Amino acid sequence: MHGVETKTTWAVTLDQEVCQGYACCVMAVPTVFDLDDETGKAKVIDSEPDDSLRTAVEGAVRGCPVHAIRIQAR
Amino acid sequence: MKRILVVGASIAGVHAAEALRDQGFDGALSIVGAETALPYDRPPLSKAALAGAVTGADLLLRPVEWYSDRDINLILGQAARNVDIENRSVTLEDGTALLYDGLVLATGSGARQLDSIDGDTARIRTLRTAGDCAELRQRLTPGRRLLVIGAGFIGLEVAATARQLGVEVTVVEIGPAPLAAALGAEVGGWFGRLHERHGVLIHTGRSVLAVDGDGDGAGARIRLDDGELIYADTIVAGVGAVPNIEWLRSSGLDLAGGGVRCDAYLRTSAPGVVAAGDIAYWRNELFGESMRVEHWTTAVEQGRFAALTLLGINDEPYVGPPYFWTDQFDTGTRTIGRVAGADRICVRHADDSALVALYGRGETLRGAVCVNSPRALLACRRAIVQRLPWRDAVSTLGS
Repeated sequence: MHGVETKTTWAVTLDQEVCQGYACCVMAVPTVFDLDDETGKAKVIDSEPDDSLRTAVEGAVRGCPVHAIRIQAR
Repeated sequence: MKRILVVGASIAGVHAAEALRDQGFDGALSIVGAETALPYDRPPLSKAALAGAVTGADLLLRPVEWYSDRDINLILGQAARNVDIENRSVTLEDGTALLYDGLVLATGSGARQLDSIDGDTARIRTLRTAGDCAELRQRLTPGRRLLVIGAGFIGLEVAATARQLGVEVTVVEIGPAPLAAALGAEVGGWFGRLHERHGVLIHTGRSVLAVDGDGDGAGARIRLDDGELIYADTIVAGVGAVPNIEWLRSSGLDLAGGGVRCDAYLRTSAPGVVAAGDIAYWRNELFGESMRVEHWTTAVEQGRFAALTLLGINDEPYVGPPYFWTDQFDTGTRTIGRVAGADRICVRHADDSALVALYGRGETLRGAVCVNSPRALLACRRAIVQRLPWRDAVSTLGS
């Protein structure tokens, strides 16, 4: 957002043991999640996203069919 | 708005209730459900739960304290029987009338029952509830024989799970190939070969005429329309789902497309009433048509969206491109967008382990099936949302 960064107090984690590669999170928030081409599963590429992405990441948590994603306070 | 009622202890229903509380709605909030169980997840019922890998509490959408923590009143084991849209009241099967200011309709679907088969049809099971899953799982032991009627997604998932448990599996499908009605015969044929490689016997172009006892204990004898006899210990029919809207027939709500007619914001024809999930026949502006989608992701998204509509805080219509997955043997299939109603299908890539197929109508890409091809899935989704012309899609995607 015009280069303004707000201070992040939260972090995103994804459990690849649980992930089934449905890629819902990657489709929802591609700046935070991507595919891991070796495993075919999702991975976090920005574990401390800007606060402007909080709502979208919360949507990815809800939208994960196997509950592999967590938001943690830091 | 003081009282909001969610009818349907379903995926859409729970996500609607969650969104209402997330958005600060602090009035009375109840969820009504026909089943006695706490709301649970359904995709695993034909896969991990049927294989025994996911059980009990792991199936629950939310733990029991989640509801009490949010002051969400659960009314379970009570189907709704009618809604009075004038007086804003829902009547339950025990006669209780619940008044509402806002109402979320999220009653989901039930399993379609076959009515064209003669004989002892009580032997034919369906798979829709956790109870159905638990009963079926008991019967899927190595060496036993399973007959699956219908090679749709649920039928094939049950077939694959059972086969991996060591069960002898036969599938009878009336169409020319598995999944042919949904994905076309060429892609369907690919799934047929996948199953045959894993030892599933598939009869396409055949239907079941009659089911009887085998005269030798608990087994069943199944007669096909070409006279062939099949013997099985267990029969499961996976012949589609029926939206649970019968209870709304006399309500005066506008019913259409097999569900409840909604606008682009999931508002029904009645004031203060929204719908979400399998029963919502809504105007999807991305595709410029009304549609009803029976997918998990749509239920999650629409449950929340419908709740926000009730609260008056949606600025844009709901346009989520439909998305669903199916896991069979060693394949993960991801279907994005609209494959129904395609007038052109292009299989861009297919070998034994992967497949990418594109679905279009009227010179526009609308959908894609991607098997073991996650990168292609992402590219196809972007292209569908951008309304990519068909000729560009077939020249750039999935090669």
